[in-house]
Amino acid sequence: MRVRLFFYFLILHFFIQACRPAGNKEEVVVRTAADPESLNPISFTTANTAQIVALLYQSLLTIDLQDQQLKPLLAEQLPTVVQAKDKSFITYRLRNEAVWDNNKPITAQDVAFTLKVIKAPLVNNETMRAALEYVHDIKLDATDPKKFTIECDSYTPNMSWEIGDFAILPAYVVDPQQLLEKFTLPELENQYDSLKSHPKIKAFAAWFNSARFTRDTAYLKGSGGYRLSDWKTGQYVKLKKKQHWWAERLSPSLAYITAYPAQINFQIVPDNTTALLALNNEQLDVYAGIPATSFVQLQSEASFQKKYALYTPSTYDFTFIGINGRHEKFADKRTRQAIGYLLDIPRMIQVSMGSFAVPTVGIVNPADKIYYNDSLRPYTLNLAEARRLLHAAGWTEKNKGWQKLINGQIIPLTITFNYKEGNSEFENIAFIFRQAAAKLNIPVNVQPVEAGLLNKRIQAQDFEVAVRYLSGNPGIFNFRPILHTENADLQEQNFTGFGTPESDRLIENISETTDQKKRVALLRKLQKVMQEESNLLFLYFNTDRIAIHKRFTNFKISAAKPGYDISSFQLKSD
Amino acid sequence: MSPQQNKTGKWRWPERLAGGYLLLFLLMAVVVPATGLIQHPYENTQSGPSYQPPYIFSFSTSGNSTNIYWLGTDRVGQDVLAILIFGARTALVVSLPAMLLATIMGVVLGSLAGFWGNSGIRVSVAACVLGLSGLLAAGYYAFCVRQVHWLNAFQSGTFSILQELGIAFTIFTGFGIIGWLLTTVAIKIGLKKTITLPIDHFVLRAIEITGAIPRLLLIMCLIAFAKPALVNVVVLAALTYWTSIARLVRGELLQVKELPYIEAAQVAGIANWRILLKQALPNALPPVIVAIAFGLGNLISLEATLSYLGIGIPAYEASWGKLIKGILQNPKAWWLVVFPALTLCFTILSLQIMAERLLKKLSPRQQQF
Repeated sequence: MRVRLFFYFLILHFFIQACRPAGNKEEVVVRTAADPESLNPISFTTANTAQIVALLYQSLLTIDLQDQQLKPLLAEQLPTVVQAKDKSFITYRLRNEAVWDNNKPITAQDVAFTLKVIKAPLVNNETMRAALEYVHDIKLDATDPKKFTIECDSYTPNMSWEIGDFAILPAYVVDPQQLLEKFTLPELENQYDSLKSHPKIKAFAAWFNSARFTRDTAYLKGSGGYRLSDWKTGQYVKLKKKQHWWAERLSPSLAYITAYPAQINFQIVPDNTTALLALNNEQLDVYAGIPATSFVQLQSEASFQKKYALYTPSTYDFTFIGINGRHEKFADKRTRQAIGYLLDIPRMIQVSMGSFAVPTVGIVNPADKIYYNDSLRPYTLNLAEARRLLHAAGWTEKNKGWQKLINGQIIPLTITFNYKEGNSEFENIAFIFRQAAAKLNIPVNVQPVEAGLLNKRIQAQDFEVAVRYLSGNPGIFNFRPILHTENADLQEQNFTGFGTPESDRLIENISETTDQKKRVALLRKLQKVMQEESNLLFLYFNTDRIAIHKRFTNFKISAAKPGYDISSFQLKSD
Repeated sequence: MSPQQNKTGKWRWPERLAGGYLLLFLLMAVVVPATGLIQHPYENTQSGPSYQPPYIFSFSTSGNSTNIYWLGTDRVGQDVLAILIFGARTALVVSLPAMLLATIMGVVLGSLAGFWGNSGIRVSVAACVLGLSGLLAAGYYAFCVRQVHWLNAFQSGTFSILQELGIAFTIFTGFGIIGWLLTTVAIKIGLKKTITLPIDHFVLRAIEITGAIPRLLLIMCLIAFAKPALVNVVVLAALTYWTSIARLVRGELLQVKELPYIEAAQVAGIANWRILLKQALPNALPPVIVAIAFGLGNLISLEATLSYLGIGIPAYEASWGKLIKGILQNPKAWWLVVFPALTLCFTILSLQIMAERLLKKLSPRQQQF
């Protein structure tokens, strides 16, 4: 009997061992929460896909995670900008060493081709096309095939970064039949609608929108240090280092252009608990966004700390509550401010973020000390102040509730509070808010809504109060799309209806000014105006929670996404 | 009294435990919330600290008497004991009405199928044709034409759904009356041909179709369209749980129907529906009562499953399943799983034990388990 038991145990042990992946020392295994769905460098949608695309393709410029500075990648140096009356001309030169996989040089033609793909009708390029709508033409240098000038509308400091931020496509792979050859950028822009019926445009769109350029290893080829080697939907995306990558021939070599790991394996693990188990079994090398409670637990385990290094970089992701300022109940800013005084932000941070977040007064990260307006105070739970403001806004307390005469009708003060279904962070925020509101007899109807439906409702401005999450980048000061009144119509991003003539002026000046001192003053003023208006009640900026296996070094932990530079990971030489 | 009956009449200790537990459960679910001794966990404006371990295991003398959390607190600092008590109420509020509805549907359809079979009901062709077209037309008007209203009703809540159901009922009744009038006219003018209605066949097909789709999956799909509300869960659960009752009633009636006293009653000329209600059904019901007890356990676990998955149950209803879900956010908070899991297990187990006891009591012939 015992022998049999022992035999069974052996078999079980054998199976358990067989289930473990054979550890590849040269491979970095990264946890990713969702399947990328599409790796098309022009039309990919999710943030975690950007990390993979950036390993396959390169842009003109990049952010060096070491010092968070903008640096030239495919370009030789940062661009030169010439400003004319209402135009600006941004000139780049590509590196001499930069070549495609077929050893043909990367030229200005490829950049022009990429811009054509971004501007072409029928191609799935909506997001990119909207982001680069101020780009009108590209002029290639007659004598130097590596040099070109991009012509844009009037200059804003964000432009040089945005124009340096898209993946440059190899024309010989993406358009072997040279279907876009004959078209110029101004033509694609000006004849956008009529060209939709052009056979060549139709043919190219059908070719480029197909699965070839979303997941096919033969077609997803860029100038990055890695090529896509395998992708099993819902399981993993594997990248292999290229044999003779052009950047290895750079001399002197640059510390921010790297491809050290021989293989990178993005393991798709949707469930946090499963990911934690895998981490504890050393089946993952990198896990970012660890749930707060688990992270605190890991911090206290000495055995775990021997294997993994833990980091908590600040991020540019923030959580805020948007109030529909167009709604009759919340049209008065004092009502919105009163809602602000119902926010117990420290408790929200403690409960829903496990204390891994920093309270903020506005859209600027408190880590950016020069821009952050430290003369303001984040909202605190203050029922007396909330009550005072409600009275000031014309609400009266009647039979265990609040009401106000609006347009001849008595409207009770109730709040419908929406958030994305299944998000426990938002669920806790809603709970804490509802509890505070109950103390003032304001009924809060909490409604979790499915993500897609919630987006639709918010775009249709059919909501009262919703908790949202936004992701930013360091050094980006273009708040036009989300805060300017010109973008406050239906289906646009300024969904709370925020904006005054003053705030619009501030936003315009912030994005246009090149004078640092002036920008600081303007940004601080904008934070003050935004707190005054309170269409957006800012809660906190998240702090990331990352674990990386200690067999590697050189992580370049940073506040810029994704928080670490995987291409620079090196095996420890012990 | 025969020794066998003695054996049934005596309460064995598991049965006593189960009975006692169920009484306690009812007390907790019905009486305690009504007394206001304990506040609803989601109406309580004073929260405790998050993830406070249960006081009974903390062996500490700290904590003043006003806020001792005997079974600990969850993430937002709510008392686990209060959630358990109000969760019991939620479980009851979902399972009892759903079972009641399912039983009514099951008994009606099962009786039709079992007692009349495929040849017991004869209807005139005119009534059949008119009734069927009336039914189709009423269905078209009540559901297809008004589908937008239905969607809105499901999105906006309980009252609107009841209103929609009322409207649908009115439409069906209206068409019923028109059909009946037309049928009377048709029979008057000489369309007297009758056919048998294969009711048993229809009911069996309906049972098979409903049974062919996995129950939980079906409910999840249907609830995905509706706004989270307990009434929706109750209605949808009832629509899927009637089949087992119907099958049981049908089976029992097929047996009972052949018994001599039923035949005697039929010979005596008593109307069929009276025989069914007075003689046949009371003898067919015992297994149904047992099935109801089992079904209640199933429905309580269904409610826990749905709330664990976060579908169908409103955000601020205390529920055992939702409490268990809390473990996902903090794997160290064992009390979020242990206590609700125990109450869930004990409730379902007690219902099963009591159901078995009922079975023994009601059919003394089947005692040798």
